[in-house]
Amino acid sequence: MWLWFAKLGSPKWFYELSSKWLPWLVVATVLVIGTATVWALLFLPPDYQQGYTSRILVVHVAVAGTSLAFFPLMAVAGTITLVWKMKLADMVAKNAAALGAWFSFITLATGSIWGSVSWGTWWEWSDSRLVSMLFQFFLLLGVVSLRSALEDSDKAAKACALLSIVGCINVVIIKYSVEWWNTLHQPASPVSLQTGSANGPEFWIATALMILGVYLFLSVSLILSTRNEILQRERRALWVQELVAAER
Amino acid sequence: MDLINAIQFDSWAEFIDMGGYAFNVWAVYGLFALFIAVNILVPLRRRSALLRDLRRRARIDDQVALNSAAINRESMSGVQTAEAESQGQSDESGDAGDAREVIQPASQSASDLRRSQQGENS
Repeated sequence: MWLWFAKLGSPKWFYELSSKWLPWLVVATVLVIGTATVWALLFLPPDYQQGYTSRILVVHVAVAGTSLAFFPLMAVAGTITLVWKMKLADMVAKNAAALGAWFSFITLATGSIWGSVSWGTWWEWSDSRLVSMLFQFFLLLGVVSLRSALEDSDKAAKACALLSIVGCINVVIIKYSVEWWNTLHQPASPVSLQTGSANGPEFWIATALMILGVYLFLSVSLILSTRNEILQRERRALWVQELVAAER
Repeated sequence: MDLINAIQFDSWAEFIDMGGYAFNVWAVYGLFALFIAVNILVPLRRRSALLRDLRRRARIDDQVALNSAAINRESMSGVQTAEAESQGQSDESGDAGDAREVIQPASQSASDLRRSQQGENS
């Protein structure tokens, strides 16, 4: 049991497995995001109130929803780092923080561009959803800078793990902010069967497809950067040296 | 065709215009494309830089190993020519072999060493 667990966390094991999976993941990502984008831009009917700006929501909802996955992911990786000191978990957590900051930024930017038409404003400080998402963006930047600020990499990993676990509270606040406080941002639309509105069947199928695509993209990007992290941290290991020699 | 009919636009101009919201819709999709491109290309570029660096380090290690082998060989051959006449050679060549074993790095320069060893013997 423990042997199996140790193997799971071995960077070499992850590197070799991801080498096999990566091409397929890339193909799936291109297919799913490509289909969802063409569908959204060409085939979605205009919303009866929002017109074609409703197409923005396909991207915005997919990226925003996926951005909520980062703190739970980092918290799980952080717990594994704290309890079992697994090297791989910390490498994933490190790269997830930077990618999560990107996700939060794109969520804010696309939401702003949509709001400028639908709400008539780019930003609203009194809206809890907007502010809590901005807070997540800063928290993730905080995790990134905390790691670079601490010189002892062992201490940095522990501090980041702790901050990631605490940061999960904010994810709950983001999720329920639209129900607890009622300001500008609308709650999640219930799935409706009425065509021609922004929660009709065409819309939620396109959005579901885009969410799947964005998750696939997340995994591709995270695997790529984790593999780099492995090459750097394990550069003295024999298997990395053999791999470098083989690619000459 | 059904699929063609399902397209919401009759012309390119209409498609670009997005019902008057061209700026907003295209800005979001442009940003989305940029976001994906950056987060794929940056790790890929970092990977090639990393591999280049690791390859350079490996070359330096090999060079150091070769140089020290050459120095070692010179000193060994000096000893051999001086003492070969007076003493039995079996002991000396055994020592030299051991010395080479020690400095041999576990990389591909091993084959280079073997080649130079053969050259010396013939």
